[in-house]
Amino acid sequence: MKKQLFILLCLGFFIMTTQAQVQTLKGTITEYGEGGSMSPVSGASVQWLGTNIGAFSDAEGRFEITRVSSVNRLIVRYITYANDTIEVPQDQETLNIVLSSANSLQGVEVSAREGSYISIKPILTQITTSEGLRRAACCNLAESFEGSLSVDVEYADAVSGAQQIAMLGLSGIYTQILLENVPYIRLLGNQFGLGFVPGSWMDAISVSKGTSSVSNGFEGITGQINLDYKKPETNKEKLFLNLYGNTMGSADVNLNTRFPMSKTKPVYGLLLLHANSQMARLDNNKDGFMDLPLTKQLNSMFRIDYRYKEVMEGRTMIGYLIEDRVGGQMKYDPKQELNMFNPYGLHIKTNKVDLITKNGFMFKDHHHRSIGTILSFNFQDNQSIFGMRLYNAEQVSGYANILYSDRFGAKENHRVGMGLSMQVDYLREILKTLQVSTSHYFQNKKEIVPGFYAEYAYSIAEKFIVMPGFRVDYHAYYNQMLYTPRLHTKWQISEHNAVRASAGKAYRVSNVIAENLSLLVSNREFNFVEDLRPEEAYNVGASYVRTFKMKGGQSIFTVDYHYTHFVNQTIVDMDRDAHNIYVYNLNGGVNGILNQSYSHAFQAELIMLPIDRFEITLAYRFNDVQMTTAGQLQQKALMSPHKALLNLNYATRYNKWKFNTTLQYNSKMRLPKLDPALVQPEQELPQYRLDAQSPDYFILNAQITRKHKQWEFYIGAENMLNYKQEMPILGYDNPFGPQFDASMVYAPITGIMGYVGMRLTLRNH
Amino acid sequence: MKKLFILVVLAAFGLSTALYAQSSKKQTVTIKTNACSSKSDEIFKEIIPFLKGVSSYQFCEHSGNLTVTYNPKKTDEATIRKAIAKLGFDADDVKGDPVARKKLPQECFTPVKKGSCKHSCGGH
Repeated sequence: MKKQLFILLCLGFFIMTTQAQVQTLKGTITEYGEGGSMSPVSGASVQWLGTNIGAFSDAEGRFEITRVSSVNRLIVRYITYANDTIEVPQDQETLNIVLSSANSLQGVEVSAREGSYISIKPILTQITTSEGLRRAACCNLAESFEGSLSVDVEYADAVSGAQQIAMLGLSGIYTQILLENVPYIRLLGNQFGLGFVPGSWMDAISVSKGTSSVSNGFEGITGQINLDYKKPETNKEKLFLNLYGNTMGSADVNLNTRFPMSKTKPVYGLLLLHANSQMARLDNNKDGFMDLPLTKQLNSMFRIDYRYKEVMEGRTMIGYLIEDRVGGQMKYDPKQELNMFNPYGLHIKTNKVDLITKNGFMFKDHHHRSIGTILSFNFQDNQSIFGMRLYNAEQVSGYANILYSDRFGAKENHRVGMGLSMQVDYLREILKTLQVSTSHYFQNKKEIVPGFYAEYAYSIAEKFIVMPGFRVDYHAYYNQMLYTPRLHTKWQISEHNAVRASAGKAYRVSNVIAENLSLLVSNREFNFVEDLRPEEAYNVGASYVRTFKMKGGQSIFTVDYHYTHFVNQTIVDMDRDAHNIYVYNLNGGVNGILNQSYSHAFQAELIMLPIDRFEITLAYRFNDVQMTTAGQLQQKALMSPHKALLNLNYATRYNKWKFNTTLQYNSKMRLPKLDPALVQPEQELPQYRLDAQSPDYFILNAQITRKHKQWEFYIGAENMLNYKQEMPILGYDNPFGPQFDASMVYAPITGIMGYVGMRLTLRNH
Repeated sequence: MKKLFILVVLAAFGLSTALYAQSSKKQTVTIKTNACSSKSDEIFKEIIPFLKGVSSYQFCEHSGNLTVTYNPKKTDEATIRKAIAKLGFDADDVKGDPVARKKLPQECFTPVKKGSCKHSCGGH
């Protein structure tokens, strides 16, 4: 992990031959900073394998090391990255090493301008760089997945504006979202958490599908998304300012500033600030409801990086967020009295505090040995009104993880990692429906989960890597031991061909209301049929990656397939009738035996660079997600089985102009259907009725960026074909009536949206 | 689909116009600087092509020579030299700004071993 942040690559080493025997090896150590630019890395060490001869890089990242005859393997070590060994031929004089924050075991070549690339680690991981992130209007994390099919993003309902993701066709709650390898978006964060991660704070997003490493916990049934924020130590921007506005009446301001905190010691600070606001009440579809909720968000983070000699280094971040969100009918006023004679409204107030500290300790004589600690604390508080329902929730979470990692063997081809973890969650929820005293829901839940894990990676001649891992957790709330075995393998068939396979188990504990707040924007009633047990699933997957040279750079072809099989799942059944939601265990008491839930997910992606600075991405994915609901095995509702994507990116020389367009195709989806026996005559009216299937549709986005010395201006449009779901809210004419349901969203609610923005970047060289 | 086609055509048109706009009468000048190494080029890459009237440049990290292509109607050699000096580098007979020079990484002035001039124009 963190310790595994590994050296990615060594590029651009130009060999200036001449003498047969070279006395010294000189070079530089750099890393990718913001915008794909390189910054020098000081204090990294290089050492010839099996010798005591080593050197450190200086403030400009330069190093010089005496050559040892007969030794060609150079160990490169830097605190935040994992160590790596590079082969340096005897006649080579210079070596330029580029570190990457990708978790990887050996190098791949990455061009600074590429928007995304595949890491070489045994777990297939696609990394979107900050360059790639700028291609979307990208105000927050949810919008960052526009150029990819691995992660689907959709609006959860037509009122709250919450955006949710899905991976392998399954809901985002099954994907583990980490911030620099610390579990981050969880529990109460599930509903709006993606909107709490500003695009301009991020340096990279790593997406891996299927089973993930055991080091981060037993979760992650469908995969893992790891976010890297900009880091104080490496960030090249002294000051970064982003201003954004769009035709829907929304504005964003971002301000990042990075500064050294000590004249003598390596201590750096970075302040990240973000504010956004949706100011206009819009109702383009004339249903009396705001198309987008009014929001005001203030989000801040302060983080510092510090280092003590070559012994200890750490990163600490403190974040605070406050958000106010008002949606519902156009005339809704959050100050109004709650009763059925007033307009229907939604009002959510969120406060969130995060504190994360990660510290690593190194051993001078054992260059691969390290101990890392992670401590994180999170507090979140939601106070919400959904029409006549009140939902208040509070979450306090603590997480501690101590990890040990080392490598051994003559060729350092054995890697061991193990650790102890502890997750504590306290969640208090109250859901009441005014004037209906019977339907109060109250939960006061304390979860304490201590765990242990061990992971071992063995590489054979850098061709095969086998990485088994195992973890055991004790879930005190359920009084249940959770055993999590996982296995990853990689076969590097040749320089340009790699095959990976993985299999593993994962668990999850559901908190139904907190994860399904969008279902509160309906008059459906929650019915908890039985006590829920932890969700439990197996995932197996395989992938093939082929890289090939094209005129513009290295191009990549990827195919992958994943199968997820649920042993137990919390079923949130909306198919039984239109007025209720039934919540039960997959094989619980409701429908008896033989309920099933599984997903087959296939994806193919081709990224080509046919000429300089021109990148084409073509992708297609197919998901077959079947689940027994209402006693019948059927395609998961509101999920597109087929999606295709075409993404074109072109930049003129020096990136003076950049052009991006994305076209995405979404196939028809199944919509939850009503039991014919329960359909009353008035439900046949168009405003109360759903078709069995949604139509298919295209989404087109485009953006143009003009770069100057310090300023960058961008203009773009989203949903340029102006495709909208005509009537996203069922029963909009009577929001307190039984037919009201705003959770049946399959397409954009708003039409074409234009935006402009500018960025100011002051760099420190 | 028709709409889509029109949009693609429009995008392509915008692109070609932007490209075409760059090709008017141009001159080149080679300026001797005291910059060395690709580190200097990283700095030039962010500044030189964005100077008024400058369309492209090439930097040879072995000789320190900076070859700049510019539009004589919009700028002149002296202005370009001044801009380079403002970054802290000497440009022919114009001395680099001492304050800016202090802030530049030492690496920018560390001589690279003799060798053939690598193609290095920052825009590849």
